[in-house]
Amino acid sequence: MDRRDVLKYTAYLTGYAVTAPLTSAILSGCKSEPATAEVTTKFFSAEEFPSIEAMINTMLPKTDTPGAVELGVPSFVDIVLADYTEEEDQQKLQKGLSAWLSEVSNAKGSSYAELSAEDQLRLLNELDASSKKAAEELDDLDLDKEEKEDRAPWWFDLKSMVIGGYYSSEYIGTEVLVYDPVPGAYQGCISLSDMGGKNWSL
Amino acid sequence: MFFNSQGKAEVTYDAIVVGSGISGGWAAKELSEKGLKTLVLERGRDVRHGEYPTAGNDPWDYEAGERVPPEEVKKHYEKQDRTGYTVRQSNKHWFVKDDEHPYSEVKRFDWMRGYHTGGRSIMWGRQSYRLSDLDFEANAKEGIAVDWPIRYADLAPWYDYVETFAGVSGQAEGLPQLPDGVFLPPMELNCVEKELKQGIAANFDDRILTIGRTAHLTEPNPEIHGTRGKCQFRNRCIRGCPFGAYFSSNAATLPAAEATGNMTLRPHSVVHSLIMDPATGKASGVRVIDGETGEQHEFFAKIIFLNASALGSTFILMNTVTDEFPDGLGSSSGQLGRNVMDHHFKVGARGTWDGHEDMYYKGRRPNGFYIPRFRNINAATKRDDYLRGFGYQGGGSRENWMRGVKELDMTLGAEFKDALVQPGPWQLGMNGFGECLPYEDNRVYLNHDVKDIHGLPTLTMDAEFKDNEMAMRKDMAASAAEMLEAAGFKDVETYDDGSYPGLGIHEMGTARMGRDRKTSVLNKWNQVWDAPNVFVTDGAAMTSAGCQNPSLTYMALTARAADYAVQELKKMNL
Repeated sequence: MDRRDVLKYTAYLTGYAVTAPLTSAILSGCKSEPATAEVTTKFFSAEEFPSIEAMINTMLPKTDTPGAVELGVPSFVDIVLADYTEEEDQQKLQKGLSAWLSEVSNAKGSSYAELSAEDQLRLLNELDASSKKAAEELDDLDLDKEEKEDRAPWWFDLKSMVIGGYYSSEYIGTEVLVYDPVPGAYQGCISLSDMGGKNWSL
Repeated sequence: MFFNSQGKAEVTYDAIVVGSGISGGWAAKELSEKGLKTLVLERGRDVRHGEYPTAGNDPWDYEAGERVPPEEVKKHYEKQDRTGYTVRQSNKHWFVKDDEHPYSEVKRFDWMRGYHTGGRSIMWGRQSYRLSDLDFEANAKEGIAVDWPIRYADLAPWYDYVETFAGVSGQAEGLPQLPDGVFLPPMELNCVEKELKQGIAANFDDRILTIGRTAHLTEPNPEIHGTRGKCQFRNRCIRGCPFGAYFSSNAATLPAAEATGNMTLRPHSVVHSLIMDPATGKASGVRVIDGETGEQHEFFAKIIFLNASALGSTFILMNTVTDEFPDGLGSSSGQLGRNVMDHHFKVGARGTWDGHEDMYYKGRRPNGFYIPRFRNINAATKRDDYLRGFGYQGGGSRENWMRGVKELDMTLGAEFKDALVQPGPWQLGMNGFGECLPYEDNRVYLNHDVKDIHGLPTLTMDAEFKDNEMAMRKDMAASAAEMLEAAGFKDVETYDDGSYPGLGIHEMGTARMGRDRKTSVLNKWNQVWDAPNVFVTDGAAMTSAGCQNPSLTYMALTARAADYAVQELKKMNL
């Protein structure tokens, strides 16, 4: 359905005025926010933030679609960690992250942010692989759910916020993935290519 | 204490309905359509249909997605957050603040509540199934608790009646244990759900998979459904539907009641207790605390319907203390507050499907599949390890970008980023909903030491799932895996995440119906034995739980009781 017809259609169907948030959300187009050079952080220190940005950029770089840094994911992660994360989880991530960043700078003599793109990618992939291995080993242990969560690698908490923040951003959600706020009908088993070959954003 | 600023005539109605949720809305509609001047008392704020502030929000409309700050959760929603899905930015305004409306737990009890016009009919799961005689006869046949005073034949015409007005989408299957209803066109299964359906049909004589029966208008009839619209497959139902496509009090029953001109809805009206008339043995009205001003009011009526939710209605009865009933109205049987039940769930299995990589779906179906009960329905399906049975609700889908966190076997970077734009493998899960037996020692009672923000006493919960439920859960996990494997799913794994009473949000049974006033609180017309002009037609009335989602049964019981109440009023019997 043409998004411009939503308002009319909704009112016709229900006989009730459509709520303002619904129309604004349905009718809002792309309004991507440019990445700012000067970022004030609430969770990450000014010293480590460039390395966080570099990690996020390494994971989801700019290609023919915008990268995660361009879409403000580092600030999103900073806000999620500062204001929407329990203290225990904040500490776990901070501890793991700081230890890893110091390990990198001790080994390389410079911060992660200052390394070459090749080194950044290699080191991050090593972190990802070793975390996956640790998670698999943890799965095999006979521990209760809570203990497993406590011991789960910190990296997946950060990675999950980055991936969630990027693919649920307005730009990716409306311009890259397929955005269909009011589908109108359900078809259970149809050709993927007819749907554009991409994930639905909602 | 309680006073009237107006003359008694101005606060006197033909009927009072306490609560505007799924059953209260029906009581309001039926009584006012039959010509009774009806006062509906809602304890929370008023919500008019369409006043759903988050209905159109996208994830990026919030600074941190659906997350709620942990300090806010801790302060206000410590218990409401136990579901994992209720305290989100887009729907937390439908749930009570636990610090304002506390309760106490001898054993863990997850009491999910919404205090506003429409109650939980805004956030309900909308799955709508009939009970059958397998359910109505079970207690009597097994010698458990007491017999239901009604059978399926008593309720069948009322199921027809409420389904017609509410609008229930579903597929007729001809099963005796899950009677067919008046159905709107069914929703479609997706590719892997169809695979499972075929796999079950090919391997199990006694089991079927059908599309969920859900209270959504898939083909509205304006003559019946008025201005309510067709389901748009947005699956944001819990936020309230601007299209009025799923059944709620706000979209359906309350507008119908309002249209009669006979209904007065009073929000912010917290019912303290019933006013008893010792001369007649009947209730003459209710005492109300205004939730905004704290003022106390009395309202009077010939009949009173308690639809305050199972535990809410039970509270009002318990708090109606008289010389004759020191433990509350309806307590003469000793059963008031006892036999609390809920469905136990969060146990089942999941798997993946190899194939259909070139297939997808369009629309966000607010519904899943259903596998009706297949245990203990006849001699061939009899179990030695537990009584009763369970049904499964489940769904298949393709994984999204979040598979990139752990599952996707790819290194990070540009290709990784682009790969996550495409949908991932098909997965499917099914979750059992099992019947819980009525146990007398599973109970709730008044707590005068802990008060709510209105200064009212609160409830203490002391209930647990027991051996029968635990034995059933083993089968719920194993049978789910068995079906997935037989149908060809891969990486099948079972889960049991544990289940505590309340979390099914199907709490019920604390003022049960029965045949004998010595062992039950309500008679076969939902009248309180101790005060026949008081009707309780919400979950409190349930004599056993079945394994089906119960709201449809509350609707049918309410419409039936309202019809009876008006007939009796006309005969001057009430």
